[in-house]
Amino acid sequence: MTDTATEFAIELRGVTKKYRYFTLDKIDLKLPRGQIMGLIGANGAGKSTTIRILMGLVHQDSGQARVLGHSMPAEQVAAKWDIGFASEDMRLYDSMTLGWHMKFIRSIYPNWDRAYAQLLLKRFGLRAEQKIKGLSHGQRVKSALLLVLARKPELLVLDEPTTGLDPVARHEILRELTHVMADEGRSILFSSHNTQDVEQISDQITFIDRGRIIDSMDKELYLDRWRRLRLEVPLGIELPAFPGIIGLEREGRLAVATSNAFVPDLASAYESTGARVQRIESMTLEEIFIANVEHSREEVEV
Amino acid sequence: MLTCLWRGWELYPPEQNSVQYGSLISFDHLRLDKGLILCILSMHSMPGTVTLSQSDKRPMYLQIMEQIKQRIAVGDWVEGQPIPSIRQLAVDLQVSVITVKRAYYELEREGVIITQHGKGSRVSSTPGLGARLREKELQEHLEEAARIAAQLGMPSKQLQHRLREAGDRIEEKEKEKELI
Repeated sequence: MTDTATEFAIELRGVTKKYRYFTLDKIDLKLPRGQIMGLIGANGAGKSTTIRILMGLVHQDSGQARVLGHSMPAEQVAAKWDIGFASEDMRLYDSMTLGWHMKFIRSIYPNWDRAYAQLLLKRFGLRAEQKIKGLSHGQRVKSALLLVLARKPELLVLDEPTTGLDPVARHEILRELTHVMADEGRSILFSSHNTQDVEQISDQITFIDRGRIIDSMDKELYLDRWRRLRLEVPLGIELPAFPGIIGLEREGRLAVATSNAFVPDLASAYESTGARVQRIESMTLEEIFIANVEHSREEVEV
Repeated sequence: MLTCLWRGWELYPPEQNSVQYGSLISFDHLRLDKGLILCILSMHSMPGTVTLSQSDKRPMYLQIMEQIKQRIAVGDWVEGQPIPSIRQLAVDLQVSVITVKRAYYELEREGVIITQHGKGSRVSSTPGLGARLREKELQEHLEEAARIAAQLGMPSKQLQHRLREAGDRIEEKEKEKELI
């Protein structure tokens, strides 16, 4: 059913979708098989639209979308056998039990793993005999996730799987996602505005802002490019705008420079102006997220 | 060696810490044969106390590197010993594969571990590796102290004196412990 010869679980090329007040603009994105990609962006950045196009729920105006080797939306029926999709607006039947839903999904998908489903019930602290209407938000999210995980799909597409969850539930879900990755043939794409989750479990990071991809790459390479340099600058010395510096704040003798293309030479360059480099700090994804969004918005506005 | 009894998925303890849990995953295929499985896990396949701290500002790969080095420095992991695969450790620590890969790559560059394609990774067989790592740790701390002293404008004589004092204090505390 799937073309295992394709190297990428997901491949978007020049995908564009225009709405009246929002445009998803020429999205290029590649997720290699066996990896987790975290899709980061503020509310309304275009994460969900991108995911909907991947799932064939929204049809792009132009550009190509391939998922597990299938062209979307044309081949979505074939693709969906091997994709597990969960998003917040997916409703379960309120008056039915979780067990009823499990049986229902099992009757459709031959890959359903009963033992794994039972294990997930225990690990998520859920009970099959409970009706959906009595469940908390966290329990509903975990139920929906259980229903896709137990099918053991090749690709998981999860729209905000940890949003609105308490720390314990979040931890349970992240743990399940990393366990999925013990199998190197499986891939995950998930969106989040919790940068800590993305930093922890993603192999690939994609930043979306205002309908465009700002960055999309290997997480380690990406984090490694960003640094904050704390400088002590004698009064009277002006700091030049070095390439790779996207932000410079100065107050009196102290300055903080932010770089998105750090090389050790940058520190030497500052030293040669007469400034002293006090510290070179790595940045968390959260700090990068904010610096990056501000920077790219400035560029657009200039 | 640690021996554990494990009956299919049923006894798979949900609250068990992630480490043992992850180690069991690699025995997954055995589950198909019988309900009752006797599995023997050798201690070395378990990262045990390798944990990541969220309040530690350093990148995760550096934290992983440091903790692996510590295990070697204290002698828990010995020269030539096999260590968990990249994917296994990623599952155990609940971090991305790419982060562990980076840590292993850097450790290999430093000559601490050796990764052979298809054979997994093991601690490098360099004699005295543990001692060397401790020595390096000491060196780093000394340099850091010297750097701060320079920032404070402290002459090196005074730094030497302070170091001697610190040594004396530790010695005194040890003596007190013996008396108790």
